Amino acid sequence: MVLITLGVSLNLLLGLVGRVSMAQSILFGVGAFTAARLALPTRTPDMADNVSGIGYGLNQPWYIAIAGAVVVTFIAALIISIPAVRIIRGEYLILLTLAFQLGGQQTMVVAKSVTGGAYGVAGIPSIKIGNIDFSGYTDRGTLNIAIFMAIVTLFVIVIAQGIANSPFGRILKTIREQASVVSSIGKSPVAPEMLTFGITAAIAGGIGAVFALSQGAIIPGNFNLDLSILIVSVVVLGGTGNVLGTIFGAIILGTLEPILRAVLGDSGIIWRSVIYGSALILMTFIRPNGFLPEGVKFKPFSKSKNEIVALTQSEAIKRLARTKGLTQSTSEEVLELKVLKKSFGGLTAVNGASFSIPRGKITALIGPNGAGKTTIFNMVTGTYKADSGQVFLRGKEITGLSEIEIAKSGIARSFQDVRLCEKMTALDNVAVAVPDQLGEKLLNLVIKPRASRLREKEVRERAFECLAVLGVSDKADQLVSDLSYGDQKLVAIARLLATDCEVLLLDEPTSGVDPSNVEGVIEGVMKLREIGCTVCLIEHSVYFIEKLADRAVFLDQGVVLAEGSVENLMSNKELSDLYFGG
Amino acid sequence: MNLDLVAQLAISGFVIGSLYALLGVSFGLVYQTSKIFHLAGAIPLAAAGYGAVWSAKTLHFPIWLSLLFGLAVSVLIGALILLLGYLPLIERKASLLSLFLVSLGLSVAFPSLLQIIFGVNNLPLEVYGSDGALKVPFENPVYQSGFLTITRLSIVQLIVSWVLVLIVLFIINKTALGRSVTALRTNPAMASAVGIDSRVVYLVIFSLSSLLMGVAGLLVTTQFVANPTMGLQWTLIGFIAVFFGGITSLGGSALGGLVLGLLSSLSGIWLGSQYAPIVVFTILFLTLLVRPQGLFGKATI
Amino acid sequence: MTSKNEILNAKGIKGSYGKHQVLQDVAVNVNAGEIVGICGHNGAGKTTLLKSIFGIQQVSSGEVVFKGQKVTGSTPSKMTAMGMSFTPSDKPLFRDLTILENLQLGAHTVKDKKVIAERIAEVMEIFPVLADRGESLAGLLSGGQQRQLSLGMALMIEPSIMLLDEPSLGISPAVVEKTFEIIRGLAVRKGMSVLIVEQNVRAMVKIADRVCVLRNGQMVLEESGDEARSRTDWWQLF
Repeated sequence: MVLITLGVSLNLLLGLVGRVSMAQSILFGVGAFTAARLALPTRTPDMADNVSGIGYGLNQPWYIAIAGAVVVTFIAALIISIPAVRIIRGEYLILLTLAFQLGGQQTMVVAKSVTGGAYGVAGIPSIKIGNIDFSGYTDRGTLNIAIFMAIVTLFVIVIAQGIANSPFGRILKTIREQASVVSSIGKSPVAPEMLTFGITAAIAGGIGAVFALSQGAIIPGNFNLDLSILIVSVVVLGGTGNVLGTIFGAIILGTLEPILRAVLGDSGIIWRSVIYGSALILMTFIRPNGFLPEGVKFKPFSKSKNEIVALTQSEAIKRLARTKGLTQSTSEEVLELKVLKKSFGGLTAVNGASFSIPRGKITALIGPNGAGKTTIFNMVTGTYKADSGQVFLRGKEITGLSEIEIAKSGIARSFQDVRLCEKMTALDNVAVAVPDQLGEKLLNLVIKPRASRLREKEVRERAFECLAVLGVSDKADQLVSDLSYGDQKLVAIARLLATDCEVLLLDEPTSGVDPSNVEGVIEGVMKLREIGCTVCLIEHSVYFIEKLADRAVFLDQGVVLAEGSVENLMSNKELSDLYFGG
Repeated sequence: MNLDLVAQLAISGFVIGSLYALLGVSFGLVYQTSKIFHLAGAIPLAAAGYGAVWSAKTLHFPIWLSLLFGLAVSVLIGALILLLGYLPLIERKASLLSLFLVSLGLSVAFPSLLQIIFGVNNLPLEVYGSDGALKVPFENPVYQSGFLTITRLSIVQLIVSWVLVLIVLFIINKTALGRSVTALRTNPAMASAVGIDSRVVYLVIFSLSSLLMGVAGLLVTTQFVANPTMGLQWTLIGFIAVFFGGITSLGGSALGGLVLGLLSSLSGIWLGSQYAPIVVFTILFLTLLVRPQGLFGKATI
Repeated sequence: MTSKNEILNAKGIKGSYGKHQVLQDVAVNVNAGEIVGICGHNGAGKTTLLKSIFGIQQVSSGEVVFKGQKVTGSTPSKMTAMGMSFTPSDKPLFRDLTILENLQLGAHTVKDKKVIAERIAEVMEIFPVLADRGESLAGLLSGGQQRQLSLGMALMIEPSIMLLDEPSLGISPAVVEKTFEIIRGLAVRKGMSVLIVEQNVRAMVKIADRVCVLRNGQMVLEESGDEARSRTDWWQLF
């Protein structure tokens, strides 16, 4: 039972965010000891010093003990996660939590005043609800404890499911699959992750408290690395991202020990780790996503999806055009770049580029390889800091702002390699980009559930509209991995549209799309113009530029050589020479 | 402050630090080339110890032969882990997380296997002479100079560790093999362009790394005992040495190990010895916080 | 029927990165001693084609025949041993190693130490700028010198055909011309074939015997070097 809860909590982290924590066990322990210390009766003068096994505490009632445990473990987790979250590489969190687990184990043994050293603490009072017996010594009491635990476990499962299916969960999944995209749609990847780790820890701590209160006695040896590994195994075996799977995994692995004992006698316990280890290895080879991969849900619990009214493409375009008109800038030049420079080491990628992008038109950046086109995109979006020069959006300077701020001011960019979350539906992929979602802050989900749900409905409608504009609304409920490449590119553009941006920077929208689908992409991009968006794209195939662009900017060696209509540029002999060499 | 205490602690720091350096280089080799979190490196370490103990006890091998046997076992197991465990996944382009889980599974199952085969207790190295009687494997006198003491085996550990570290550094920097490793590590695209087979390079790296782990395991076994869970603790120290010392530099990993040993030993001036692991983990935490690429590493993040 | 002179024949090549379909159905062949150039816009699939032929990139369908043998899907080490060299466009050498070490690595599949030494001497002769700096780090060379080193590395296996991916990348126009002259000189001197992928059409066309144009993963044109040299409407093709 305990295992189920611990497993579910880790699943939050592993399944949704995609990172492994080895420290669940110690956090469990921290919770347990905190609760113990809070709940134990205070020292009275007639109790002798250091009577082994019996400890002293603050004599708080059991619910304070549990609450205290939850708070303490939450804070501890936030502290540990600070270094790991800044660095995207997952292995750091593993190492960090491993170190915390082992360091924590040793600290527990050493910190006698809190934990009673290796001998632990005993005499912890049990939960008191009215007259119900919760002590571990009677059969009735044990049963009651089990029921209590079951209720707690169910509670945790419900919370976990709720988080997973909420807008907050959606952001987590996006962080897991495409971390780089999150800031480009104007949202922060750091806070949700740390929060999740904190929650995962808090759950472990809370359960630790319940454990302590029901066992009556705990020792540091309860909370060792083996347990952490067991928890990881449970989640992996059962299926990351799937709560039901974790439950199965916990039941299977949890009952392993008593079965072994029954079959092989006490010595059979040794086989336990061998089986865990082998199971882990086998699963990684055969079914890396666990028994029950993410999509599988219990029928009664899956939500019905299509409350959204179907929309034709032209209706969608009209709707979005209207809202666009309200927020549109009035000046002719929406985006201005002035004398931008950027060098990497000794190489000057952009050497004083200046040009502007007119409102409502599609402008293409052309130039030979290494001309600096992608670098310019990156400077506009804030991914790179320009060495010198300025970028103005609607007359206001945005040079040097962070990626997230720039995205929020109305510039969105697509990526050459699409970067959609394959395991999510098209609709969800687009929905995550809609700004100002109440449901993305966990707090709102709790204190303003109604408003959050209403907003979510709006968000989904909006996402649907964006998909409709690009002509792919019929694919809204399909998993992105099932879509053709051309459709994926369109969904990615829809995602940009959803950010309410004014300027879309498209990085090679037609590359890699097979001939039969390419027309669809071209049409989609042109629809953007119909809505009134301003588009700047990088394209290499002149063939496509002719079809798509109103204007072109020719770049070479980091400098703008010419601006004008595509025809003019192509008939210019000097440019021709430059592009084709000579 | 008692200078003699400091000196003594410094000496133990050096001694343990050289073992850490060995472990650091062992992990650095694997991590730098393949980015694999080779927790299962614990296995060759334990395997060497148990191999030696078993061959001495059951086969009555003389001491040197049983040590060699232990080494052979560790290299073999290390190679097997690569061939059967990691390579198939790499061919399938599995994620680093999957590789880690396999490593985890192996490192969890193995100690238990050892317990099943050899029993739960610690096993000392027992060597039998040609007359079938129990001999002392090594004379291990304690040398004393003033208040400072050091055992012979500690000296052996110092020398062996550093010699091996230097040999590995030599191989990497001066030989054709080392060139291939550096090529694969710094420019995998070009490495395949000149025809370097990454599987062969991995095999060599893993064998080398397992050899080093095996030596570490033997050093521990001969000075103390063989213990089913011995692998994991030392493995972790190896990792910490790499991340602390420098994830892009083998020399950095070695030095990292040394500094780690010194720091954890010298902390004994103020704290009890049971705090040493805590010191080590705190150092790791601070490193990851402040300088994630390690003391001597180049910032790649 | 493959002509007697033909040493490389690739047809029906399809390739993709996941869903991103890069090559739709491409064919190209090279005869002994011939310089064939493939040009096209960025992302047209030129590099993928070379990598598919050499074996670095998996083909989803198609066949590659080299020196009469079917080599589709072979490993790069096998291709190098058979006499095909490949020089990538980006970072075609090992920056952190010395010039000498780079050449030695170029000869990775060559067994005979004496032969390696001979070839190193020859490369130094062909590229005098490398001769005096055997111990310098390759990363310190200029762009043009690095290109020369990469060509030298390819020569170490005495290839029958060199695959060159955008050799003009990262070097200034004057040096580009010189580099291409060297390539042509090598081809003539050693009787080698060369398959060049280039975006710099002008330079490539000057030395090519045959020119192909790739656009969006499909081959849209193939003509002789002379015809290509007199062409003026390149914009329409790209």
